[in-house]
Amino acid sequence: MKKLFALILTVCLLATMSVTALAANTTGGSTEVSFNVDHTYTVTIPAAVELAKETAGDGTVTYENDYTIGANAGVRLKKNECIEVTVASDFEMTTTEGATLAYTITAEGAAVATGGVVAEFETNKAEQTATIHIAANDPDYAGEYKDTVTFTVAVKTN
Amino acid sequence: MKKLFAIVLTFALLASLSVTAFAANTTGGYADITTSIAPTYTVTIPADVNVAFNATETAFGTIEVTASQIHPDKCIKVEVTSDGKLENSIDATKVIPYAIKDSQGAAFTSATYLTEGDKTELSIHITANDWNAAYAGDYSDTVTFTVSYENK
Repeated sequence: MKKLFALILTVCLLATMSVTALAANTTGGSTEVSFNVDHTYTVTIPAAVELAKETAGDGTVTYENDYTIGANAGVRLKKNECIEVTVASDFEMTTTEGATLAYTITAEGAAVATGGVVAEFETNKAEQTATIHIAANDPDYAGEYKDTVTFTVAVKTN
Repeated sequence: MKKLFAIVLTFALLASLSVTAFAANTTGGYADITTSIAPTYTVTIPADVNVAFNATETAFGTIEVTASQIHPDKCIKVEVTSDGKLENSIDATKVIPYAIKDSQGAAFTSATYLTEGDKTELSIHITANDWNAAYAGDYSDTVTFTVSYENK
């Protein structure tokens, strides 16, 4: 037991010891200094959004809502890189009875197609958010409508 | 005592070793888009109608769906109930029989509707013989329309 503890103590001490570097000559020299900083980011994608009924002044009924994607404070990427969030969807909700309801996703006022970019984030110490808008017309049928969309997050070079 | 110090020193050294933290990245996710639409519908039914003396056929008005947003597997059902007899206001035992019919001439008791604009035109039929056998006086009856939301 004593030898075991002595061995453990020895290994730990060796791991913490520093090494003294002595100059090799008096005329000078070069030393390569390097270190690596990994990408750091977390993108938050909310699990669900429910469209709410909206009635315009002319009586037109639509179902709409905003959906916000966020990036944590302290996103750190390489220079000239950004985080790109894209969406994949067939843009159609359905009910269990078979009724369908088409919807649109717009980002910065422009309609997004499947595979399109819905958010971009850059290196930033502050939190970042991107909001998209989802809207559908008033459907013919009542029911519980649902669709699932897929968001993909990737680091891209600008 | 020596053993105790050895153990304490060991744990102290182990605790001082640093641990490398790796960045936690997210590659994507899924989101459900949902909306719930409750069924609504509006049905208009015939109002009061006055049957002219000796008229064998009188327009009774229209059952019509004027608004509809229902489930695909449901329908709107309208049933008509009446005893089919106009009763004399002085003597209820004195009656004039009548029938409610649709535009095809079939006796109407009920119908189902699906969308806005679906309708049935109704009429009241009294035979000439029944008119001839009727006592003088004012006659009336009440027809009940029942609207329900049913499975197809």
